[in-house]
Parts: sequence; C-alpha cells; structure tokens
Amino acid sequence: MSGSLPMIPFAVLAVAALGGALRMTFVRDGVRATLWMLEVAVALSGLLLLLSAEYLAGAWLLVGAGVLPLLLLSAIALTARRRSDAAWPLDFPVAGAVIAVAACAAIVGAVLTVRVPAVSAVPPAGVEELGAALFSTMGWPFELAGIVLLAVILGVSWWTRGGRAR
Amino acid sequence: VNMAVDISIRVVVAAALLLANSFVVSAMTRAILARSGAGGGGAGLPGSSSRPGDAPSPAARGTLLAASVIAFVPSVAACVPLALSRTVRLEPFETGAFFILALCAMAPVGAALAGWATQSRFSALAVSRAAVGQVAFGAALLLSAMTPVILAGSLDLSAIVDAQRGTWLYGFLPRWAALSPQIVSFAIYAVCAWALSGRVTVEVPSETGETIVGAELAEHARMFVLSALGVTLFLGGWLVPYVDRNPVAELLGPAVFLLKTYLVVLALVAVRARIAPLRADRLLALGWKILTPVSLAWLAVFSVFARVVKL
Repeated sequence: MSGSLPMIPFAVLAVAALGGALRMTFVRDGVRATLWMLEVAVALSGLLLLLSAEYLAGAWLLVGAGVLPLLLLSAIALTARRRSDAAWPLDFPVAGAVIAVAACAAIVGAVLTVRVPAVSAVPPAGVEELGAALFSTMGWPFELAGIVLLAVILGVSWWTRGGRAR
Repeated sequence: VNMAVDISIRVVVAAALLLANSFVVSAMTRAILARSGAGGGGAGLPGSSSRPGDAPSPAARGTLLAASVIAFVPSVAACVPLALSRTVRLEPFETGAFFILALCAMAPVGAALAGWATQSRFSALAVSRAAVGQVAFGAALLLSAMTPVILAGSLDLSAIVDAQRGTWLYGFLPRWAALSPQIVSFAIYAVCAWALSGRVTVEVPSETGETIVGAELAEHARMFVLSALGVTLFLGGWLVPYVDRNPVAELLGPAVFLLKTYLVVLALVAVRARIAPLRADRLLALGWKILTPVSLAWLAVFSVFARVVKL
C-alpha cells in the first residue's frame, strides 16, 4: 500500500465493501441482495480507483454494478409474482454462506500460494499497453471478476428453473 | 485535513455545476418537446406516466427512490472524467472514455428496479424489454466509440481530441473523426445515443411524482454525457476548426466544447420530437440484429484498414 494513499476514504470504502458483502450473503430478499451486490461493486471500484487501477475500476463498474444487477433484477422481476416471492426459500441461507466462505477461502488460498504478477502502479498509457496488461498483470483480477459472473449466471439459472413451487 | 477539505470543496462545486447543468438540459428538452407537441416517448421505449389513485407502499416508495438514485448518480458522475479543454477538467482520467461508458451502463439497473417496485407484470415486462434494448445499444455504442480510441492509441479524452487536430484533404476539412472514414462509427454512435436518451420509466402511482422528476433528470444528464462524449470522440472536442493551434482558440476551448455539446443535445431532442417512436420489438431488432453486428464488423474492418494505411 503506498504511503500517499488517502487512508480515510480507503478505510470507508473497505468497510463498505466488506459490510455490503456480508449483508448480501445473509439478507433473505433477492432484490435487496442484488442492491447490496451493487453497493459492493461500487465500493470495490472506488478502492481500485484509489489504487490507481482505473481500467479495473471501470470494468468492475461495468460488470458488477451494471450487467450483473440487471441480470438478477430482470430474472426476479419476470418470475416473481409478489414482493414476498423474491425471498430465498430458506430462513437462513446456509448454503449461500457455505459457498461464499468456501469460494473466499479458495481465492485467498490461491492468492497466497500462486505467484500473482504485480499490477503496475502506473496505468497503461495507450491501447497497446492496455492490451498487453490485460493478458499479463491484469489477467488475475479479470479472472476473479469472471468467477463472480459465473456465480451470478448459476444463481439466475437456479432462480428461473422450472417446476419450483413458490 | 487539508486534503479532506480540498476534496470536499471540489465535490461540492462539481455536484453544484453538474446539477445546474442537468436542470438546464432538462428545461431545454421540455421547452422543445412542448413547442413541438411531442411526448417524452423518445426512441420508442416505454414512456413515463403517472397513475392516479392508489398510494404506493412505503417499501415501493423506498425502492422507487433507490431506482431514481441509481439512475441519476452514475449519469451525473459520468460528467467527471469529461475534458472541457486540455487543462479544464474536474478530474484527469487515463481511461476517461471507458469510465464514462461504464457509468452509463448502470442506468438500466435503475429502470429494472423501478419496474420491480411497481409490482405490475406489464411494467416489469416493459422495463425488462427496455433494459435489454439499452444493453444492445450500449454494446453498439461501446464498439463504435472504439475507432477514435484505436486511432488516438489512448483512452484518455485529451489524447483523443489531440488526434483530431489539424486538417486533411489539402486543408479543406478539419481532421475530426466525423469528417473522416470514421463517419460510419459516428452514424452508429448517433443512432445509439438517440436510442439511449429515450425515456425508460414505468407507470407509477402519482404520489411518487418526485421519483419521476429524478428519472427525468437522470435521462437528461445521460443525454448530456452521451452528447459530450460524442463531441469528444467525433467532433473535435474543444478544437475550433482551422484555427485549432491558435492560443486564443485554446483559451475559448471550454466554451466551444459546451457550445458543441448543447448543439448535439438540441439535435437529439429535435430528432426525438420529429420522428415517431419505433415499436419496442423493432427497436430491439435494430439494436441487436443490425447495429451491434454492423459495429463489430466495422470495428474489425477499420482496425485492419488503420493498420494497413497507417492512418
């Protein structure tokens, strides 16, 4: 972490991201969970901006705060008849919590064990440098975003499956 | 502490300027549409209306308010990376063009949330269709915006404008992207901007009028941002044609940029007032079946062309 990093905004955004992630995992209402996910994506984007990773911040906004919430909200709005139908069928989302903790452990373990190329503090100056970075130093963060995308696609598939009595 | 005060002052000043700009664009749009007698339907996406009678539940009111905020804040925040001239900008961004488009991608989320809040199946269907349309036009817009980026070799808005400096065809035409082979990208961008600046709201109880005002402001802020980005990418940004290396012209840059942007906003509103709204399925077909593949193909052709000819 660089010495010139503004600590107060960083701390606020970090707390917002972690708190939002916990709320997203444990809240029962699907629409509220989606809104918490959006909040987490915005907070993560802010953190990345503070870390001078502008392109990654934009990508997180585009995917985490744009495409994914839209996908989830559309699926819920088109399949749930009443507001109460948007609630998960479990009183306490054990399965979600277990999957979230397992995924988190796997990612943290991978980060600690695999040698991840460091993202340069200087943002890519041109499109050629950006293209090269996408396939080298930025590959790892983009793969992480891909995991979130995959989780949301699986969640929407589960939500919209046929034959489920609500 | 000094940094916190500095950031706070900049945020307050920027928010005041951007809000004032939203109100100006909003007033301008309303005046033109009222004079022409056209409604707010725009590009054929569902228009906003209010339903008298049943008051919304507190939960629905809260969700509608959240929808307005989600639509409005990113649209206003997208103004921050804009470069009014080489030196006048709220915050320098190395990837300004991409960041603006990423923020604009959040707008359909607000629309989808509003559709859910109404608890009406028809509203949910209409808004989902409109949101899908916005994604389609957003993708085509992103692809069309890539050709000036390729030519400039940068996502920085200042560099993109600098790449359009000077003239070509023996000094006859300014070297703006819209007056070059990139006119195809400009045409796609213009159609997408027209479609994306259409209204995407739903029928809501009349007691929630303030949320409609929020949605309208968001729509007008988005129209301004798309126009400003279009001016930067294709119409030379703050450059004055033929005298763009003159120091006086550089000083007038911000005024020139705003003038060009407001002219584009006027053009978008005028087209919206004159052209009958497209049916929703035709609009979706235009986005998904025509503009997205055409912009993808054109991007591929242009990339090869630019590499071979060394534009």
